[in-house]
Amino acid sequence: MTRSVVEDKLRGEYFELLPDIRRVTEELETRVRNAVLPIVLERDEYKLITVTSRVKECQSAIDSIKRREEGNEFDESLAAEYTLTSLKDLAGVRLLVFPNSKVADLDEALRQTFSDWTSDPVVDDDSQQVLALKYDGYCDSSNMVTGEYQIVPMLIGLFWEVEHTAIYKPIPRLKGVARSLEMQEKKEMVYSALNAFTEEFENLLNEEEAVE
Amino acid sequence: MPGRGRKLDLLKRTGFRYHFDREVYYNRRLRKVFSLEWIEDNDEALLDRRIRERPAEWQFYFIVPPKEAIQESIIREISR
Repeated sequence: MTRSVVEDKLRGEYFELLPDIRRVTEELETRVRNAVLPIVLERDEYKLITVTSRVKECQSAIDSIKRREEGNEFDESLAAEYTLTSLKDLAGVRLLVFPNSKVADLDEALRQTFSDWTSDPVVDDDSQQVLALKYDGYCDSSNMVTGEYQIVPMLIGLFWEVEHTAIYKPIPRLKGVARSLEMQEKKEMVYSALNAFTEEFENLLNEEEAVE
Repeated sequence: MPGRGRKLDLLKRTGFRYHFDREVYYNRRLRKVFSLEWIEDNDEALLDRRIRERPAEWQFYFIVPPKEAIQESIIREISR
């Protein structure tokens, strides 16, 4: 198999950017945790908020760029045009939230800290429902690498984590399977079921609180 | 994606298979390759018309037409 000039170039770029990616991740997680601390400390026995961060791995970053090309192949004659800095999620922080009603509270708190960041929500293609809030922008620690934070309903986020850990991390090629029309249909069904589950759960919680 | 189910049904009925490395739907007999992006961006009626076309050579229905080298690479993979 012919060695890809583009992949080699991007691999080299990744290791040049890695110190910045790590700094942005550290800064972003710290600032996110600070911004949501008042909400986290609220006395609310039914609330659950987790904050995690991750540095995107090299091959995952390269594959993300490659998947932007139809047919998933780099145009080797345009090697100079490919850059990992076009990715918004090299440095990522994810907040998982339960119940869903807390998503808006966290969003408001974080918008005060990251007011100039760009909103790019994750939207379900069919229903046009927003699955997760997502924002990207620059931190003080780097003018080359953007950071991204997501606010995700707990069950949706855990589903994504299971999918990633169980399937895509061990076998990255299977990400292509996930993008098929067949699996998009099945994923719709999962989102619908998780949303229905969460809605009913929250309805019951609200009923109990009303009684109390 | 509007009409995803109908598009998928059309592709399956006409013998298209999904190549998950390339993220394309292909049919070796008809010598056609549709990218996911093209399918997402176009309606079922156009998909149906393109499937019915009978070109002499391999046809790639992509948003951005792939260069010859990439076409050849894809054909090699889906012909295995």
